[in-house]
This record gives sequence, structure tokens and C-alpha cells, in this order.
Amino acid sequence: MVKPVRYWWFYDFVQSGNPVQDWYSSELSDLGRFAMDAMLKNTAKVANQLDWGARDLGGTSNKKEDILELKFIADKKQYRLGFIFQPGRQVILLNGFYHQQKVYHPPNALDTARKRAKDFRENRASKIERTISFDI
Amino acid sequence: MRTEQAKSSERSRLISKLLSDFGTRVAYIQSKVSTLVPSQIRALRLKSDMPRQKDLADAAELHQSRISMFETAGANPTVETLSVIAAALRVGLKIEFVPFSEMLEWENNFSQDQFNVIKLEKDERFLNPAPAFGYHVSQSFASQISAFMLRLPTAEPMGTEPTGGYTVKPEIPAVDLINAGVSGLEIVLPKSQFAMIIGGITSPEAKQMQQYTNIKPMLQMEGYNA
Repeated sequence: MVKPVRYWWFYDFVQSGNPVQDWYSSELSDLGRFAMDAMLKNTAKVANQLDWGARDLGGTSNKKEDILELKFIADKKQYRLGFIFQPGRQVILLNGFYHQQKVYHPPNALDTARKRAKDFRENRASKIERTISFDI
Repeated sequence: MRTEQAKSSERSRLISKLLSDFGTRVAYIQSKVSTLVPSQIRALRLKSDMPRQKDLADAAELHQSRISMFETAGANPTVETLSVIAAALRVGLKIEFVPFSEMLEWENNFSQDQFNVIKLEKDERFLNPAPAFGYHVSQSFASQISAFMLRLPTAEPMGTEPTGGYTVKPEIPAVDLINAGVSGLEIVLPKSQFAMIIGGITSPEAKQMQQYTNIKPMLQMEGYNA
């Protein structure tokens, strides 16, 4: 099978465990997991990140933080993945969440993303590649 | 990074689940379709003369927030809404049931960057269809062939390897080609040396090529007529 061109590599934020993978495994249904995988797989093939449809995490008022979010819908919820860019076309996924009005699941999702971004940027956390399989 | 063994094991688990569980199959299919369809809408909008969501929304007589929603992975627009968006983008829409392998191939080969569709006003094949002659290849015949190779006049920019005034494209799954609508192309079947099918010929050049076909007896045997 010919692997398509990909431009981006996704990594999970790691700090004494992998909270992104934990969220993926425990909070998402089969549909949610498939939808997230498919979304990341498709996003990895879009060269210009401005064409992803990603937004500033928590709205444009938080633009200066350089934390963004990718969205996908599953089970009638709009899930979001907080992320930051790193050199080398790397995307570090910080956390996953959804919200209804102002109620976030998990709670304090925006603060969590901010803290993890800071920890990562200040070398208090690491990353692990999130493999995107093209044969499943 | 996961090892090849771990990936293989994960794949086996998924296949086993897909084989045995209806809900898993639904989720798997939905995730593919509802990722690639929004991505297609986004691709067509960005390449159109209405690159803002608001402009497409106006053309489709929908609210901008709905366009935003329909461009989000996992969105689940109805066929009616997809028809409205297609009409606003001035393109057609095809929905087709396919084998799982073909669905995966669609996903793997899809590129939002490269995806584009000819608009109605530039769709010559629709506006001025050439009378089709030559061999018409049916789905059932195509399904007996794993892949075609195409040889196109070198004027076509899409080839990879010029040969004798023609350009050879890499193998293309037969069914994809037939679904795409063969027109003005010479098709070489790898399984029968230099055999050729011509379907819906549009150029005199392509017609000439018919002379050295040796697929003809095979096609006649299959009940196909020129």
C-alpha cells in the first residue's frame, strides 16, 4: 500500500504518564477514537496549518498563548484537542476535552492545556510520537 | 514509537472487531466519511472564488456557523445538505457503497491540498459530451482485473514515464478508473501484455491506437462490442 505524503507529526504530551492517551482510551467511544484518528490522519496531510480549521484555544482573546485547538465531532459532542507547534513540523497534543456552554469536561481543561504547554516549553515534560497508521 | 509487531497486533484486533461487531463497523465507516467529506468541503471552498465561509454560506443559503460545522471532522450533514453545498460550489456529488479496502484506499489517497473538482461551467464532458464509441467496460468486467495502466498523449502533464509519444501512468485500480469515467484514454492491462481497451474515445489519436489492440478478442469473448 502506498503511503500518502504527510507533512506533520503528532506527539502526545508526556509527564509521568501519557494523559492524552489516557483520555483517548477512557473518555472516547469507539466512534470518538476512530474520529480522532481519522482527523489526525487527514490533518497530517494538509501542508498549510492555516487550512486545518484550527482555532486559538479558548477563543481569540487567548491568541498570545500560541495554544491552539483542533476539533472533531463524535457522539454529538464537539471534542477539542489542545496543541502547540514545535520546530520540525511537530504538533504536541496537550489534552482532549469538550465543553457545553462554559462547563468543561474534564474541568479546567483550558488551564490544564496552559500548564502543560508551559511545562513542555520549560522542559519539565517530554513527548511521545502518536503513530498514525495508514493500514487500518 | 510502537513496534511493527504492536501495530500488526492492533490491526488484527481491529479487524476482528470489525468482523464481529456491527457498532464498530458503523463507527469505523462514519469516522472515515465524516472526516473526508468536511475536508472536501473545506478544500473546495478554499480553492473557490468564495474562500470565506460566509460567502459559501450565502451561496448555499445557510448560516455561516453551519458551514463551519460541516467543515469540522465528524460532522454529519444530511444528503440534502450536502446537495445544497455541492450546488453552491457548482459541483456534483456521488455517494457510493464500496468494499472496506476501497474506503481505506480513499482515505489514504485523499489529500485536502490536492482535492479539486471541475465546476459546472468548465465541465466540458458534461456541457459538450463527445459521442462515446469504442469499448465500454462494465463493472463486472473491471472487477476481474486488478489494475490498469494508462497511456496518455504526452501533452497530458500527469504522466511519469514518456514512451513513444505517450506517457505511462502508474497502475490504477480498475474499479477506480471505471468509476472515474474513461474518456479518450488507452488502457493497458498488465495481465495481458499490451492489451488495450478504449472507452468513450474523444480524440482521433486515441482512436488510432485501437488498431494495435489485442484485447479485442478477449472483450468480444466477454460479450463487449466496439
